[in-house]
Amino acid sequence: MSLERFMIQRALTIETCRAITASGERSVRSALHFEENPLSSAERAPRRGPPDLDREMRAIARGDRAAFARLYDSLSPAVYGVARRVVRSAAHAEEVTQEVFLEVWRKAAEWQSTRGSAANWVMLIARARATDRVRSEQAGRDRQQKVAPGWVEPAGDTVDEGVTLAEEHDEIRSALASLTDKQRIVIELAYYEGKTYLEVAESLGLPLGTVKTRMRDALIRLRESYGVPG
Amino acid sequence: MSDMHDMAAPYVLGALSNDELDAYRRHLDDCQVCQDEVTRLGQGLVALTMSDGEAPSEHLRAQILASIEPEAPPAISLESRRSTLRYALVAVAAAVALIFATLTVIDRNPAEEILAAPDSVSVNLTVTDSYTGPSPTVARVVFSASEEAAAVELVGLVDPSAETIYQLWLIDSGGAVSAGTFRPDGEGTAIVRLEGAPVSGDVVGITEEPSGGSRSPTGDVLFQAGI
Repeated sequence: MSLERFMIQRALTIETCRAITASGERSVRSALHFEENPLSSAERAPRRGPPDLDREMRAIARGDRAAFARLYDSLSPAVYGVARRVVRSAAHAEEVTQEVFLEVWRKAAEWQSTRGSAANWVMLIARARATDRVRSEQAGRDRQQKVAPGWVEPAGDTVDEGVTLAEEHDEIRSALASLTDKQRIVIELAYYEGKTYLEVAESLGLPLGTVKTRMRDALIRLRESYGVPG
Repeated sequence: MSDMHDMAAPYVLGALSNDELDAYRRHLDDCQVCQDEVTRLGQGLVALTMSDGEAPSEHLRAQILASIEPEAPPAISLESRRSTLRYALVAVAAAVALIFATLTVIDRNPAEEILAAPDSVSVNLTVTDSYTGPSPTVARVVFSASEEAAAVELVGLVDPSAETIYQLWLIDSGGAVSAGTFRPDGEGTAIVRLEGAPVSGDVVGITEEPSGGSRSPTGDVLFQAGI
């Protein structure tokens, strides 16, 4: 990537970050536990400011609908963003977002803080549902193609959407711009395309250890790009 | 497996096979080093997805919050099972919450509850030329998708004449259906829950009708708003 291209992407990243909902910045900070130790946060007195999502998840597990609404407000842009990127169509992305949050509501009691943050857990459900959707759509298209050729809906909702998506795509990609190409590709394959690290290693022709190391380096760099000290 | 410790990154990305996932989860329960690593790396994934975030429509929010009706409260958290005392307290709290939930259902959502619902959306009622009194200071419809209900709030509403009453209507392409009648209290305030199940897209209208109400509107529309 040329330096100029890099600077443009970097600027786009900053714009994108600014454009996230007014609470976006705070949500990111709270989801990352900037100010607090996630393991001890449950014991704290009621806090002001951004919600602690681990704490919200415990409340949701007890059937607290207001906590669910707060979690939705914090994470729905991230979930919808992933769905939009994976399934493309805005309408399908909304359906995926709905599936994800209903699953969160049903399964909140299964989440355990020793197995990762609540936000991480939600984003893994998002990955699973979005990539499931792509697979079932592909299967559906294959079936329809056999039964009724010509009846197949286009991938996007409208023709115009193709243009918009193409425009947006650069912006979306830019969030990964802090990564090297090698780091970025493993994140794209593993997270957005739903591959296991074994499949990633196979498709790139790399040893398993290398893939795991690249994933780790990428995640650390993404984390640092938000100013979390290593 | 000897190299469990380097599974954290694929785990955080959801990129372990099912067998590996089960094994690594069990390992995580006992390995503080891996727990810390998963927390740290997980922040990278969350930072990525947050930075790529895109707000979905408000309509989706209402739809999702409406579909988590309290009839299916999730089970008690695994986390709380760690402490027997806490477990007992949570169980009691859940039972109490269930009783309250039941009572709320029997209570048929008083209008104030709709006004206070976390997902409530307020739309101002338009005062038409047919309304002759001074404009009310508050005239709005409040709709809650989760309660599947709407209420009107009017402050500073003139009394209807002795033989008439205000009547609420839900209007869609199929016509107008009565949603109840009301009179303001002595201070000109009325907070009334609409009968029936309004849906997004309906228009709420208020007319003045003979006491006892009408089957379909006979008076002019005095206030109206789309939900």
